[in-house]
Amino acid sequence: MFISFFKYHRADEEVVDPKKYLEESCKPKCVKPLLEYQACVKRIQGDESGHKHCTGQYFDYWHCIDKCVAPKLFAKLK
Amino acid sequence: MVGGGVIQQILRRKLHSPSLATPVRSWFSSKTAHVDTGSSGVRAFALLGAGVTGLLSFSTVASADEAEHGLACPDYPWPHDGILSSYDHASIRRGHQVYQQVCASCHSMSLISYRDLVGVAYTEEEAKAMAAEIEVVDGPNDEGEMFTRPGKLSDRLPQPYANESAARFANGGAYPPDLSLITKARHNGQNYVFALLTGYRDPPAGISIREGLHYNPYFPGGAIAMPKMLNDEAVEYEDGVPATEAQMGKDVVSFLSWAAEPEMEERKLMGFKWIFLLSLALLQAAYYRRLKWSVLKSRKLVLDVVN
Repeated sequence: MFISFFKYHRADEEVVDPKKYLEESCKPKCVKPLLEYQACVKRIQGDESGHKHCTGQYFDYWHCIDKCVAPKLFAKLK
Repeated sequence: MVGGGVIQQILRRKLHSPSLATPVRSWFSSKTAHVDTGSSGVRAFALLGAGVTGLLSFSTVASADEAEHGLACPDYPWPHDGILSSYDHASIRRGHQVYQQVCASCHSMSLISYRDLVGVAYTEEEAKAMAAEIEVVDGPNDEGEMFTRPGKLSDRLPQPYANESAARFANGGAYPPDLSLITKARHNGQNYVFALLTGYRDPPAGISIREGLHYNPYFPGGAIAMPKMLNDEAVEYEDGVPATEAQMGKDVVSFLSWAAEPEMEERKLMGFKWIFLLSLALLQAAYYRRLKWSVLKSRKLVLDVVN
């Protein structure tokens, strides 16, 4: 996946962004749209026309993640 | 649909034509025969063609719609959401700090004055000290000249650019909007702004964003001119709260919500009070109406037949 793990876990710092952490922990709940997205990526890999894209599957995946993260996030913030 | 209707029309004409053995020829001949009566056959052809191209073009339009509207933002449980909930004023104070240090270099908030912050996020002395840090153009003086002086409580928050053209020039043609009313000026504003600020991600496969723009799925179209501004520990909070990206996003949106709706707390108190009182008045009015109407509603009508 294209998520960078840089901000999510830094050994020298205690600060972990709760939103990134929750997005990672919500991944198992959203496996289906994630697999759909990855299948789409594979499908369009050889495309030269530049018209094919996976926005739909990307949106479905992130919508699922957002729905999972939103109710829990503010409890982790001041 | 136009295409379907025309096809039906053509079929009906073919079925009703006298010689079913050669339907095509008769259709063509009927077409030429009807040339002088409005060339309805040619029109049918044209409509059919238009319908087919319409059908084909839907495939590309549907896929563009998603990015066009942006990813729908989720609903976050804001602490000031309830019917009797006030703002988290500590959050407003932190949010103002984030605005000042991160956002004010590009975004104006020209409808907010320093005095508005008094009693909401800062004490009068703190607000006065903050105002005094900026230089304000005032005048003309007795000699007719404009002069600069340190800011006062009555001054508006400073603007980063002199006008919209200067703002666009400094930001590659894009205008960083004034944030005074932004949470009211966008659909589902509070959730949208929070999702936008914390939602910078790599674009999906197949989408490339031109140089100078950045990908954000929540932004209509997906390509936003503003880069990701909230990064962990970009700000050091006075009260020691860890300044993670999500924390700064929550605080700045609380601040922006207050800026757009400073009257919210008073409004909710008024609303609660008046809805309660009007409900009592409703009960009283209903009783009174029924009392007065009881005279008529308890009438007895006697049908007296004359023998």
